[in-house]
Amino acid sequence: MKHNPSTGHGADVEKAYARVLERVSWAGVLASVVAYTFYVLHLLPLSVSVESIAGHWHLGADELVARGIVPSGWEWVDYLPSADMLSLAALAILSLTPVAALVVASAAFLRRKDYAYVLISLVQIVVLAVAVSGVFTR
Amino acid sequence: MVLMKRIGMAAVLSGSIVMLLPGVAHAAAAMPGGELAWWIWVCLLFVFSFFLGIIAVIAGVGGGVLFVPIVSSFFPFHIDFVRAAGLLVALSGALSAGAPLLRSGMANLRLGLPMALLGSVSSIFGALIGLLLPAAFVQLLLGIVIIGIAVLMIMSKRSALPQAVEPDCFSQLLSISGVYHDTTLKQAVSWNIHRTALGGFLFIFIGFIGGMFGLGAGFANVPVFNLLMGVPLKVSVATSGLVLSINGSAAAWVYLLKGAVLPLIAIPAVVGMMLGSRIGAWLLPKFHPKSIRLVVISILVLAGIRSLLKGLGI
Repeated sequence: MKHNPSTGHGADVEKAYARVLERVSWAGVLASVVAYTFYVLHLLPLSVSVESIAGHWHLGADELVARGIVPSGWEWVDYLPSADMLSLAALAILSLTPVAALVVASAAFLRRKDYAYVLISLVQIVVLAVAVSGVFTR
Repeated sequence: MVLMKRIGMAAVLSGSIVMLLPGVAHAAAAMPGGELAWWIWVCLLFVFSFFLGIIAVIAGVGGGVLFVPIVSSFFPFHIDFVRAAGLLVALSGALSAGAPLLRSGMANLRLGLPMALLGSVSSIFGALIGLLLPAAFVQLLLGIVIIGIAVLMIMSKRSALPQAVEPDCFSQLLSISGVYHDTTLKQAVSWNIHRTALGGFLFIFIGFIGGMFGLGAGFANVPVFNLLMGVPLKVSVATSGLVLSINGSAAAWVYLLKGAVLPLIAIPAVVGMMLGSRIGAWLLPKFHPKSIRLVVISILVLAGIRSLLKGLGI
């Protein structure tokens, strides 16, 4: 069996991955809390009022998009920096955490000349990038 | 401890009566917010997620698996938004626990990344298909899945240290093996895996289900790693979180771009769950996991039945 470079107590790729995971996820959580505070306390303008969202949250996502209450695709970026869309952006940062960690991991695998895992990491980044791009949701 | 057990059983009993009352669920389903102001629902969701975070950690289940069936049955939010919030809840819980588990060598990237790659592709399709299906049908399927998960939890036995296995060709090709320091045994434990191809196939299925229903899939990841592939339990649990974070991220973006992520709902759920998980980790040594697990299984069965009934319009 080949030597496994990732064994042992906290191998360097895992440590690099963990460092990015921790920093980006905390940034996402912190941003979510701050943006949400601005949102519910109306400290910044909103693209759609809280009352309007709450009045329609029993309807499906398609229905809310059709009524123009929530944006679809990347339209939400156009409404920045409204507080509700800042909250959405913070959740987007949180959801992008694995992508950032995978970029660092692929570089670490490359330094080890561990090409199989460089490929797996890069393909994983492409899969997540496709999900983020909205190709399938148009 | 006896008092806690009694409180737990009383909570399950009273919960079961309330949960199965059709009027209760209808009250939530029929009105956008009922007589309650929006901020009361949001506060209730935060408090609920907080306690769910505590229970989930102690019982050793992901938050999403409890969050989606209960919130979709008893809160006035459409199941699209609940599934999206459930994915974000599961994702944030996995991210929160991920770094220390990776540093300690418990979560293993060589094991997790190939499975996450397979699962993330299917979770995207699971989310897309789930959003196309009628809400009542999703609710019905969710009920069946949740009851299935409860049965899986009852049936599956966990193996802390599976017998040493002979690595198969895939695991040799990818050099998937590892060593971690077991603090309970006070020794280094080395492990190999087998049945990698079958495991990969199951991760495709698990990713699909997770994406479709907004569930964190720890309930299924762990038995596949542990019982099928021969990974030690601690490594299975830790690496399951790694897989879940990547699959959850892929599916969460589908929901976000389809307009199904409402920050008004998702953020209190995420923050409540993360705070609750921290308290749960602190309380963990004080509780008997088996009793809590029994309570959680009971809650799952009841939430599953409620979800089934709601899906049938009863």
